[in-house]
Amino acid sequence: MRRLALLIAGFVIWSAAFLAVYALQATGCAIGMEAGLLRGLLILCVAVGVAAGAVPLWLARRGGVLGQSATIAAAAAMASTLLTLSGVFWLGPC
Amino acid sequence: MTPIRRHKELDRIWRTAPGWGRLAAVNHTVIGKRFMLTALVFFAIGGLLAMLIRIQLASRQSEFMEPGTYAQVFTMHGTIMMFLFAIPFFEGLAMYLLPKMLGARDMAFPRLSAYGYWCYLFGGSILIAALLMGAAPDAGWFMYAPLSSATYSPGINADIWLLGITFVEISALSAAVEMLVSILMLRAGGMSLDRMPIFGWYMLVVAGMMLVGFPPLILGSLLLEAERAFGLPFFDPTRGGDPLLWQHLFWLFGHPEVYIIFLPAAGVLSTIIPVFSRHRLVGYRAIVAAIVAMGFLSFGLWVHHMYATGIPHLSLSFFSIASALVAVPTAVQIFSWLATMAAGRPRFSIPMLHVFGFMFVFVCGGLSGVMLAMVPFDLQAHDTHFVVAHMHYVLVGGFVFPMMAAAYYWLPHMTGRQPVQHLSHAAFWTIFAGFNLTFLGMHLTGLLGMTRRVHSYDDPWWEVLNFISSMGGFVTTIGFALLALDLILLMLFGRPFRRDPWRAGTLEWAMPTPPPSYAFASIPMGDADGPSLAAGKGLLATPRGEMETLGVDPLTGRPEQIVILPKPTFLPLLTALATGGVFLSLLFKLYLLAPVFAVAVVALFLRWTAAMPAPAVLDAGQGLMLPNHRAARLPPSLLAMRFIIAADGAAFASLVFGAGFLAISAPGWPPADWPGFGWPAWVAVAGALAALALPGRALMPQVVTVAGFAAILWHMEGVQDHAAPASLAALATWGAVHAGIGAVLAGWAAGQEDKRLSVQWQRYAALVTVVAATFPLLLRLLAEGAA
Amino acid sequence: MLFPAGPAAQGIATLWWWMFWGGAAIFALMLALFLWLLLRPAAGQGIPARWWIVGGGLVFPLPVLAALTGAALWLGEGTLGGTAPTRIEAEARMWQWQFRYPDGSATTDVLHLPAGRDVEIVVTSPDVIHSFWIPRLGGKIDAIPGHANRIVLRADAPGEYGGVCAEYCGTGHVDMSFTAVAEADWGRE
Repeated sequence: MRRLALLIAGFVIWSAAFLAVYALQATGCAIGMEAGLLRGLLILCVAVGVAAGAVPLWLARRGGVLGQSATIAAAAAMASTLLTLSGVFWLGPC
Repeated sequence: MTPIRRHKELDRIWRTAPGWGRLAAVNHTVIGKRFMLTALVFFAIGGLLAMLIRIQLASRQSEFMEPGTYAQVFTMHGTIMMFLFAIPFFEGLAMYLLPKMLGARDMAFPRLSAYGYWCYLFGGSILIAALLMGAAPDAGWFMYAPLSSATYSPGINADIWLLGITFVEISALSAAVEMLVSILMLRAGGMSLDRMPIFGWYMLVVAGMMLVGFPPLILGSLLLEAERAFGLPFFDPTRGGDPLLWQHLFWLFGHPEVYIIFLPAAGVLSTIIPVFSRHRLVGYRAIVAAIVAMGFLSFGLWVHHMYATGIPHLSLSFFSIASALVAVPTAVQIFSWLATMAAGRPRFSIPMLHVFGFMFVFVCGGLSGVMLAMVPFDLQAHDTHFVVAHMHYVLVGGFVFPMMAAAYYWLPHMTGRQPVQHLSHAAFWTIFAGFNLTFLGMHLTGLLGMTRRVHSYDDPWWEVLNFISSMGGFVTTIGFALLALDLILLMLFGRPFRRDPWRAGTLEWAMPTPPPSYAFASIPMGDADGPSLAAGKGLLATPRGEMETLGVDPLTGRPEQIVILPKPTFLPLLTALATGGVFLSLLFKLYLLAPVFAVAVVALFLRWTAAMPAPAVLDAGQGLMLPNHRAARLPPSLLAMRFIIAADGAAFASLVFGAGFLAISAPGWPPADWPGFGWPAWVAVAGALAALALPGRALMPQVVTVAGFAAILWHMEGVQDHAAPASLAALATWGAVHAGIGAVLAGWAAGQEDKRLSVQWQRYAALVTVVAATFPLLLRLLAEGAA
Repeated sequence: MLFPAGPAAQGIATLWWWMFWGGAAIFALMLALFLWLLLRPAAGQGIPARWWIVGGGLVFPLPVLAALTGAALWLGEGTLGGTAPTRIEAEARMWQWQFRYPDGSATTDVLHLPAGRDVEIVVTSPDVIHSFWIPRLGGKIDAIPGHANRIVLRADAPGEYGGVCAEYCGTGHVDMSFTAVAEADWGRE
């Protein structure tokens, strides 16, 4: 079951990062947080998400067909975190 | 033991009794076929409604239907096709195929299959009855509040949607739990996950998606029904609610739903294309990763139905990029299929013709989908006929064509007869031509500015395009009639065959066709073919009077237990009838009757557990001694409980999200006076902590928790005045219900040796209580921060 | 939107035509590949599987999607969330539109705009959800009860443009259309 969990771990992290960034942005805009600070926090969130995505990638590096699928999925998830949330680097935060 | 004698003995154990006994059926072959057949009936009704829409739109200023009737027709067309056709149809297909492909004799919880089927049938019938009586839902299939709220839809119409669909969704959730457990645990001996037929992987991910995708919709429906029936203003902006909350909850389900429908079809393609390419599937590992990626990414798209609601552009960018990105795993799958065809020697046949239909139509729909993912373009095309065209290209291309391929491929398995191919080509080309005639031009109609859900229009050019679409619609219908005729002819006059006419090699063809009630005479272990299984060279070859199948280690497929399945019984039907009683009494506002039926449902469910076998160690054949599931380390029911808790957790998370969302986004917050839980919250938490400390003896603690929440609800004021107290009341009710279930389970487990099922629930319910009881503080922080 | 009459609609139309021709090319390519492999068995046997999956699944779609999404977001950043000094309030109700201008005047089902100038339209609703849309000028914005949404539009030339409610809002939904009149001398400030 641990290896099955590894298969989805990368994308679970993606989901968490996605929700965290979306919630932080919505809350930040609603409470009128200063734009520069909000952008900094959002970028920090994305960075943490991408970094955390490296953990399942490293754990999945060995072990059979399922391990290879897990490696692909973890790499895809890491790239997805960076890509889907890349708007925080250049779009207006609110 | 001879194969004939083995067949007779097994069939005596497994078969469904004739006559009234059919109502007691629990067998996956029977239930799977019932699901598919019922779904096809609903498909015909939905198709009829589509024809009514096309008649209405064929000319300008048509007098065919009045606006109110037209609204019922388009709402029901969407609702039926999504909820009563697409999802139940693939559930039925999966139910029929999964055990046979994976080497099991049945699904893990046959009575749950039957219960799900009855819920689906009864819930669907409520909707159709309403349609016949002219009281069908009429606010569009996504039921946007406040149009669907009591103020603007005072009739019973919207209640029918909310309660009827929730009733049907019970079958989706039960199917999800059942598929997850069956795929993970009930397989042939030695079939490890990474050697599982790819269809199993698709359904594993789909079931996981259903498990977390449906609860937000169910929760949203319950909240909206609570607003309509009891005035709790979750979606009313004049009282601290927000119509956008409905859209978030609906699309949080509604977008994954499209992929929930597409992925089973992709699984069919991944199964069929290799067979007709005469080469094993290329890129198995990449496909598994792609399915997982799709399963997750499809949840990150829900706001792409809400670009025009005034959400900041940065938030839209997350959803826009995710929507574009989901094309990547789709492309990986499509190119894996192309690679399979390139590596093999493809042969042409009717299923491949429909695969061509899929390629043509789905690629087209996928490309317009990427277009719609782009925010500025979507702001133009949103809510126009461009979207209508796109959606039909995706759903017909991504579901109907693959299912027609599946019909030609597996109908021989169900009937034991091979196609004769008189009408097959004509039927395909009629559907294909009619479909494109209907929807290709509709892209243009939309780009010219025709919005959806209008019953009349003025522009003469639109009339030309609409007339072509209507003619195309009728051609498509003729095509489906031809298809139906062709399939009926196949069933009646097809050529009988011996095993495996397609030379497929998957396990479902290693049995006689039509399949016997027990599916496998003996359970495959390692490499196996049909004749050797019939000769009893697999596991569990000696009938013992019980319905036995093999339980394996989820990952490696090592045989671990013998799962003894329940015999046919009327209990699922009775339980579904009682469940229907709950829904009908809510529908007709007989609120005193609903608890009576609810108690009946609980009592009947407890009755299900009466006939459990005693723990034992049994001979599985081939020198293997295995415990039965009662004596096993991880029985299927325990795994199922974890999944049920996950689904429930998704609904609870949606509720917590919903309350937080209102505090931040809705107008009219914070409320004039803050509702609090007061001292009873401590009583509830104390009960929860006691249940955590003593989960094996949780009856009294959970009763205390229920009492705490009851006191909270008793003192709660102003639930109809503002969404804040309404949300807190919803959380308290949630906590009370979960603690109540905990108390019932604890009482039940008191008489059981194995209390693990109850213990898991007690821990989860205690967690729910702690969150629910402390949430008012967090909500207040959020609301005052936002103010 | 095929006949744009303002900068917002013009940008979207350009995006559309790029996507249309690109999409048509990709569609033709996919279909040609499929038919080639189906009708000429063994035609593709020389190409290793990895090339298909990595090439078709990653190398080809990722840059195309990145370029398209980047361009669309850049376009959206320019048109969404902007403001303009001239502000008109549009209230959508079942089933008519009421427009209020800076000088305090109001009209029903006819929207008077200054031609050649950005206007900010603030859209609200007292009852159910509606959606404000003038197809030839730009995208939609929903009128959601409890929220005030804004959209910036410009009509390049004087003239009449049709407007509709784009979100289904009950049996009168079809009749909830309006006319936008762009005027050279507007005089409602």
